[in-house]
Amino acid sequence: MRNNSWGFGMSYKEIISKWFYEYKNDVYSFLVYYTGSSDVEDLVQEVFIKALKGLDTYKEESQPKTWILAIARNVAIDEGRKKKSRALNYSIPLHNWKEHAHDLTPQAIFDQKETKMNLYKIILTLKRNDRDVLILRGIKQMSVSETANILNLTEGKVRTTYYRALQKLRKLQGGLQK
Amino acid sequence: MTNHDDYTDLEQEMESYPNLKLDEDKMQHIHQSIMEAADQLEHKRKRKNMVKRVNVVLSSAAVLVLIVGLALSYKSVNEQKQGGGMDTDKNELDQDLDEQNPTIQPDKNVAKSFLKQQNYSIESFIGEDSFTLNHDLLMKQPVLSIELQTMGAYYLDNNELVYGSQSLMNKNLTIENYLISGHWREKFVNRAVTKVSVVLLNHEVLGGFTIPSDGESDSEGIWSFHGPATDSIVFADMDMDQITIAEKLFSQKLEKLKSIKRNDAQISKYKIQSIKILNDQAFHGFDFRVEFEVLPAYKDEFVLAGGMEPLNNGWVRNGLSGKVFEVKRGTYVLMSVGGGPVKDIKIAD
Repeated sequence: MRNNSWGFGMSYKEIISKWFYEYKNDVYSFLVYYTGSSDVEDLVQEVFIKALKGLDTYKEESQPKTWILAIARNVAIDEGRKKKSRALNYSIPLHNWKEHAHDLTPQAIFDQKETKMNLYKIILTLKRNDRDVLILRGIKQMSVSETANILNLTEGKVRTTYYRALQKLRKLQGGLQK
Repeated sequence: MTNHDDYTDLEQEMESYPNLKLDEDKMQHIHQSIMEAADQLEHKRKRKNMVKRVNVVLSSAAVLVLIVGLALSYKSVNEQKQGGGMDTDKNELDQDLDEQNPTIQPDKNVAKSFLKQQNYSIESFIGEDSFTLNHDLLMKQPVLSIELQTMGAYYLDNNELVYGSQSLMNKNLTIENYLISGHWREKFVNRAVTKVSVVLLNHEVLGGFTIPSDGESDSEGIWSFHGPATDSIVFADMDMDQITIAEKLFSQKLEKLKSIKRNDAQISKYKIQSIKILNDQAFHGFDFRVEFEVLPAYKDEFVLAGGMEPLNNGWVRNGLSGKVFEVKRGTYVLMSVGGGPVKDIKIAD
């Protein structure tokens, strides 16, 4: 039983259930982009079970969302180590892509999906720090403060890393276009 | 010039990546698995808490039982102390008590119990040291002195803590009636006495028993004789007759020491390279100095207690002025000026 602002009088089970419903898609989406695979359901489960087991260590200074995403990142890194030898199979489900598809020709839609996939592939080639910041700040649209919390960095470091990662991204993107 | 705005297109591109959603069926399945894990964890936590509580309850109960036990034991001892001395054999005891301490009430029951406790210890003590005296005979031996060694170098005299050592110079006193008198009880119980050495008139040393300090018993029990037995004499507080006896005994010992010194083979047997008696005539005030040395290889067998000090060359010297210094087979006993036996020093054969 924990008594605090986010779980007054709730059992651990109730807390984790609440958090699951609130953050499941954030975790899922993050894991898909982080691992480059849409087959991350097991990882989502692992993240919440780890959160459940570590609930005693959770400090209220951070938001549950950033705490859980930090766990998700660690789980994804572990998973990456396990699958190191395996070839990455990018399977980002872009069917949810909210684009004004009806304004575009089928060819244009295909081209835009292709562009997104290429950009994403470039992001995945970057160093971990750059990639982390781009996924969290760029794709997941998290604030500098939230990103800093998840990555355990200062906000200044997050800003610098993000800017440099964009520079690298531009450079690599230019190379591909040539 | 490059600035942050140059990457707006990239940022917009990234922003347009869809926020992916977990499939509903999979979501339910995952949720169910997490809830099952939560149930298991909850169960484990409850068990752990229960075990903790049980441990706390058991510990508390144990402490309570201990306290009750101690209280009962204390009460029982007090009752015995108040009522048990009525049956004492006055004829024998009063004589001793008058001489020793007229205010002390004898306590035969407790003394008997004590004697019973000691029976095993004494016998085992005798057995260990190849004594041929039987227990009954031993208990009838006249006592030359009973020395109390207290924490520090203090002893009790008429229930007063006095620096030095105490000798109960009563030739008629036997160990048995001394113990039965309850005298020991008044002197030892609840006092800082840590060790008692009993020396018989025929200078056969019974040994001593260690009195627990701070209510803690030693490994051999609350009252345990400890050895090894050896010849030793306590010179403090003697009257002239006793001094004469002691002097006589002591001079015999000195002769014995000298003979050992001359006997190289025997010295070698005991692994003692040399024994020096520096001022063997300095018996004035019962104070003399002995120095002995052992081969460096055996120096570790000497415990550095009291006045023992290591020399630069690896030899060990007794730096104290000793009162009694005797060599027996495999055993040294060193007596310090005012503190009774300092340490039994064993030398391997």
